[in-house]
Amino acid sequence: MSAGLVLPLWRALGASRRGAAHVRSGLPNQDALLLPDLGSEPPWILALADGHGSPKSFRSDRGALLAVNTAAAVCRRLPCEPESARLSAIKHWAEDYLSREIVRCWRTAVDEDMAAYPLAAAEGAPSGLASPEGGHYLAYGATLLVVMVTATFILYWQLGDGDILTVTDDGVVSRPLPPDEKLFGNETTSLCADRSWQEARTAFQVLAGAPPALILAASDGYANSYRDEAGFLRVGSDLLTLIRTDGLEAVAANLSDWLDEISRQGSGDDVTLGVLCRTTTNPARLGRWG
Amino acid sequence: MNQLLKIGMTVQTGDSARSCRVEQFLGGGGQGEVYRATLDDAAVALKWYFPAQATVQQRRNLQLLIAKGAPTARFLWPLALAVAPGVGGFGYLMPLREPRYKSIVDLMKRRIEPSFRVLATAGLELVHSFLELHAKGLCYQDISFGNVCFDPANGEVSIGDNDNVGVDGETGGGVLGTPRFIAPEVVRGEAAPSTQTDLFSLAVLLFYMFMIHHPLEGRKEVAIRCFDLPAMTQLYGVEPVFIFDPADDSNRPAPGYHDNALVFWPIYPQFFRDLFTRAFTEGIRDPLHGRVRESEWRAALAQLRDLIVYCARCGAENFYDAASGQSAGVCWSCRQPLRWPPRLHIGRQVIMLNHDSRLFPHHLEQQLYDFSNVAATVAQHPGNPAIWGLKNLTGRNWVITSGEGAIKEVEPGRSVTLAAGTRINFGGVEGDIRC
Amino acid sequence: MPKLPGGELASRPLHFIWIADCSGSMGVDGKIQQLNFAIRDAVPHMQKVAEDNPNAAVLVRAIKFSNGAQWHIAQPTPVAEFKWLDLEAMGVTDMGMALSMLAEQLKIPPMSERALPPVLVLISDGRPTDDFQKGLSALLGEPWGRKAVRLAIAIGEDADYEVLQRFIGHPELKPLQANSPEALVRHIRWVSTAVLKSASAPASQPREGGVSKLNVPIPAPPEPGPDVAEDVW
Repeated sequence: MSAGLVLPLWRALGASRRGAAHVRSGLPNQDALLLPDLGSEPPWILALADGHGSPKSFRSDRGALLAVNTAAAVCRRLPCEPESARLSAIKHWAEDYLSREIVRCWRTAVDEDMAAYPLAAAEGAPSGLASPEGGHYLAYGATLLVVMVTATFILYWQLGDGDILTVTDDGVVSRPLPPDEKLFGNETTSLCADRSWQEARTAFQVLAGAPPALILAASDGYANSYRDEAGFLRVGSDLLTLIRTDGLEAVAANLSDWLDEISRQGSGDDVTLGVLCRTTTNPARLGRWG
Repeated sequence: MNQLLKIGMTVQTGDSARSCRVEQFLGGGGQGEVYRATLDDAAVALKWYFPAQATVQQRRNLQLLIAKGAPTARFLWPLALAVAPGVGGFGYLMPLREPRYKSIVDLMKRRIEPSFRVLATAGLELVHSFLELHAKGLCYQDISFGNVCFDPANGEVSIGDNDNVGVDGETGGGVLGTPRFIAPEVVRGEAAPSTQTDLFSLAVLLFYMFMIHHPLEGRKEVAIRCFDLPAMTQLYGVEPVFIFDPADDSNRPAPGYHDNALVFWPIYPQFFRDLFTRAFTEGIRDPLHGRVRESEWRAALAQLRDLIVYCARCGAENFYDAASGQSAGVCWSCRQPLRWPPRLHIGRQVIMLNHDSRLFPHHLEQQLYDFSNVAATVAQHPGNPAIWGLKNLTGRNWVITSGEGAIKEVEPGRSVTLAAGTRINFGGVEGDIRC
Repeated sequence: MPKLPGGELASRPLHFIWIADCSGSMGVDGKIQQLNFAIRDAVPHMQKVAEDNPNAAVLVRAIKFSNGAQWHIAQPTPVAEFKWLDLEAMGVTDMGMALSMLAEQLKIPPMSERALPPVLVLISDGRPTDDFQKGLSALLGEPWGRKAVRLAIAIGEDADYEVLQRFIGHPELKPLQANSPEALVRHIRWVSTAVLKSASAPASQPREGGVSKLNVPIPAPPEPGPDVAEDVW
């Protein structure tokens, strides 16, 4: 570990709840969430995927699960404790190659899943089971958000809709990734699309003494439940305040109920939230909740 | 997101102690953070280094660059050092890049789709910039293609992040960022960055612009599953193999992974591909004498631009390739046969005469390149749109000999019909029209 | 349970807009009364669909066109409170103007970015008498105009199919043909229930994106070697 860098103590919490509309229609939760095991060595990876859930994407719940696992495996290959001189190289690799690797590995995982579990008529696959309309990747289609925390940098990566927010110690909320001007209405870029890796957005933040106090990743069902953007951004600062006043455990205990209410009163979609929170208090135990 | 400076604070310029207000965080890289700032009502960019990068050596280097000044206006060059009381380290001010410029990363991600004409123009400007940089006795210690930008509308170039420029012969050696653009001998630690090693970087940049792919990333790259220094040193330094090396097919592009290379390579004329082949075979084997020089790139890019042909069916740009003969020629986009427009042969130059073709001084008199000075354009006959001609925009008469042997003069402002067999004497040189 | 973090929760707005032809020909054979009946009849069924999907806030309004165009029900009305006002027939068929006015309302603001794609239903029995293309371009120039689900119902045999198809903009979807009162009721019911239901679903749609080609507009290339007397001009 480089001298002069204090290893921040991170905590993780999160939950994923089936959307109110899906409860009514009988569809399963199409989101997947992977929280890091903070008891282990860095990197600590939070990954969240949102399966499309449309009739053509009838295996998107599995697609989402494959996506979060793939992302974690690929990101683990990045060196975590590079000398400062190599950070530019890692940043460039993350921008140039990471997206291609994640998409390639996800497609390989989908191919393997298809081979192990061939499509069945009961799934509602359109006629022509061997190659469903739009290609079999569409059947598994999902969006993906990744946050990778190390001692020296934080990597933010996103393909498709959903939101990643950072909150500073003072409660200032920002979006680390540039907006995707192609996202409009309910359309999204996706892992299943051709050349999808080109649509991915990356941000690479070298840690220089003031890392975010809280990082939050949410599927689009969450933000779509708020009347406006400002209302959603406040989630970031409010969560930080709540964790500081009520404690992490209390917040984690309420999370599932909150997400249910958010879906019910808001978008009706599956709602998934993953949070990384930096704390400087002496940890009673490392680990994760949620 | 910013960690080093606070929005709204002021920093001082190192020399004249002018104040500069930090306005907006623009982004962070591996070496520091960049902000938009205001200096005397003008918007500038302010880069501030991470503590580990704010070394005495870096500071000295910056002072030298500031004193030397920018080689051309295309460089976003360090203007002044910046310090802030209360905040350690230092930064520097440079001009802010205008939003019309997009980087090669944008090209890679297909956020922009410039024409081949624009790419050739941008290539010419890039080559010219390298030439001017080297003429000042400077060279790159590192270059990232995120810093090479161009305007997709017209090819104008803007080169940023020049704080890693060093003095030729005095660079410290060692790879700062990614080895992908650095000459193999530098990656291996056998040589320090110099104007010679820059020629390799230039070749890689040009390859990237025209193939949207790296020249050394083929099957061998697919095999790298683990991003570590030994693996990258191997690919870019120890065993660099050109993906289209005629004598070594061990590193051919892998379909599905390297499709850009496979799609773009056949589009270009043979002479252009040959130049890249030389750059990445002899250019690798013989760092001192084997590299393609700026002047060679310049002639090649100007010639490339002259060979652009528009498909009559779909309008896509294609290239005339003398090596493959006149009968060959299928549009890469719609796969229909191409119809060649008339062309002008002047010495070894071949200029396709499209509706928008232009001649410049370098076509006619082997002077320096001057693309602001148009010597001739293609024009339509005002009375009969089926007739096309070449319009004389120089200050002197041309003398033409028609296919039948008739001799006529073409005064400035008048045009000569594009008929096969017509020979034009421009004064210094002669050219003939072929169809 | 302690208060939820963040601002106010809200269901996503779904704008449903009737675009109705009130030209003089709609007065012939009682067509306008049939249309009024069909829409009024569909309202309770629309309300039922909306009840089943509380996460979409369905807001209904209507614009009419004959001589010029006018908002018939201008305020986006929550479907539970929606009451249809009868249309009357008189005048020509200024369809283009209706689309231009619609385009104005689909700008952001007054639309929000978080809305579900709007449903636009164009009902007509004849040919547009104004610049239809201008109105359509204005509509499709707005992001919400492009993303909207656009449907059309053709009443009678004199309706202009080509124009309606262009409004729809998707070759797989055809204008619905209403040649009888029963057919009209059926089509109106379908757009206001089945279509509304699927538009209310929260599913994200992956874009059908392609990589655009390197291309330039087609210029006419100069012809080689014309046989003409002039060499110099």
